[in-house]
Amino acid sequence: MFETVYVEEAIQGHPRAKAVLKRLAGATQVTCHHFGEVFNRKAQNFRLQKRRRALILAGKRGRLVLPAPAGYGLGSRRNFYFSHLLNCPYDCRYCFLQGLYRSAHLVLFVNYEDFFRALEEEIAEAGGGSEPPCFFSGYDCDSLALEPLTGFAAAFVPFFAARPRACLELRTKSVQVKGLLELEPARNCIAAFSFTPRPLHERHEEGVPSIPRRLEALVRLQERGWPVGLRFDPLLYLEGFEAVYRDFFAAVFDRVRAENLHSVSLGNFRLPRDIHWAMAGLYPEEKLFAFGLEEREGLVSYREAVVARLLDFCQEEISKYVPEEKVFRC
Amino acid sequence: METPRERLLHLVVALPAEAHPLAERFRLKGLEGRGPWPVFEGEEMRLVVSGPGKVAAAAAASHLQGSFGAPKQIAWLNLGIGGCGDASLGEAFLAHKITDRASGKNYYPGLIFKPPCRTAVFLTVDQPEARYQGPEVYDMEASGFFEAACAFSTAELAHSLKIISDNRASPPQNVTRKQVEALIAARLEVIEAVIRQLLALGRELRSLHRDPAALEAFTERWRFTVTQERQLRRLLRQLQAIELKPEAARFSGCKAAGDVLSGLREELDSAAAREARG
Repeated sequence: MFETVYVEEAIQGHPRAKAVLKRLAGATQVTCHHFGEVFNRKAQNFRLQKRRRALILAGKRGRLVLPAPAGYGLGSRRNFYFSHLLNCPYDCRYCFLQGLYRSAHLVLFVNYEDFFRALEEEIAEAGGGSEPPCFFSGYDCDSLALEPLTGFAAAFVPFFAARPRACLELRTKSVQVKGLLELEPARNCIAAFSFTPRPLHERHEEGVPSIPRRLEALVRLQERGWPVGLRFDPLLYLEGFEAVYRDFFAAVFDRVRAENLHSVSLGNFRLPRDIHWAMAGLYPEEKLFAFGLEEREGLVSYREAVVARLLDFCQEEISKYVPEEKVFRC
Repeated sequence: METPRERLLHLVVALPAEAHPLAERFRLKGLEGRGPWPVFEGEEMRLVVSGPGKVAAAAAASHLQGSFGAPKQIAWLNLGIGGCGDASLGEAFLAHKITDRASGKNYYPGLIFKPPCRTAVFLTVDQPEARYQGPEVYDMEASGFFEAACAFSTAELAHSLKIISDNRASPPQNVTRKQVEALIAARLEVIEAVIRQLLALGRELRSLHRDPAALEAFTERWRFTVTQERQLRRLLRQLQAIELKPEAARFSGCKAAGDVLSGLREELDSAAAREARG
């Protein structure tokens, strides 16, 4: 899985680091003082690194829980995100992580106990307010893709299950649901699956399990009683998108029981200007970044008319299957 | 076909004895009048003999870069002999971490290919070391070389490969010029495997950043400022990405470079509008 593991000297003795290293016993271990020496240095090439990503084991310091960016959420006004992992093992061409980080390596922060403390503080601060805080774990990574290695859900779901005033979103493109199936479903932990229609999946989502396999994983969780969500974000434009998205939604809602879905969210393809610039530089041959986009208030996206057509059409299609109050635009 | 200015590997060795077997194997010829360091050149690579020490390695690497104006996607390899207490004489190691003992600074070459030999931490020292305290490979150039190479390229394309010339049983004072040549010659297969990997990566990266095919036709016809040429390159790449072939002749009515850029932008916009209409 990983041929090289960089380990911060300070966390070498951490039980979670030891457990990960035991699972990756065949990998070359390289110690470093701080993960940034490897992850944040200049003179590295994200695209080349994807050929052979390394894992970096580190301790997260500073602010561990952060307010979610504006527009990121599911109705609550108290949205936060936290990242036990930076980067994702999949290779989705549209993903902003490629432009956000200099490195394609994955950083796993093993000090979950510090995350628990920080989360506890945020939850306590929210107190008995009318809106429960919602915590997103898949902003900088895929929450479940490395579950057998990280034990992230196995650790954080029980934490949130014991704090029903808060909610946790596990966002994924993976089929790694075995761990969740072994746990008691927690009503405040949502397994949210991201999808794009098949032609876009095939073109842009390298390494991501097929749509039927992911739907199967979602349905298994739903049958077991887990709250599940659907995330259609980003919506990508393609010629004849109406028919493609119509058929796609029909196929999805043919499998998923819409009546007990937790939520559906959809958002257009958008990138901060600098991130778009970095991604276009990494993939000069990529049509997705080459044309049809414009910058508005620091964000690069499709032209307004295209965004409106795409979002309106998709929302209308989704509303055929799901009640309006469960659908959110990001 | 690549032009001679696109040799995609620069080798930095400390000693003439390290250079000879490489020059022979890769048919490198000495270049005259190339400054204070001997430089050799072949079809795919250049080699400079830096002399011992990290400062010399960094300076020689900078000399190669400065003299030949190599592209950013060039690969760099520091090759030579090193010592290691636990390893056998003649064993080859690729660095997965380089520590400069004097400064304590660490460097991490990006191992994005399967190494054809064992990898190790390299400890760059200022004087030959005979007290091997750990499992590290002791060398005298890697840290200086790597710091310089990363200023010109990317950490995935900068590597250090050492053949063990001394260990606990055989101290560095015993190493002769002939032995160095023999040690390098005996490991040419491993060296070549690393070189092939680096050349392939360099080529791949270079092909992505190669100037668009139509660029020259435009720059020959109109005078672009540096900023405009950057914009031109980007627009031509974008048009190429959507499989449009911009021809300079179509813009023959344009007097100024700015008009050409506007015309190319219009082409992109029309293509986007066509697609958006479906």
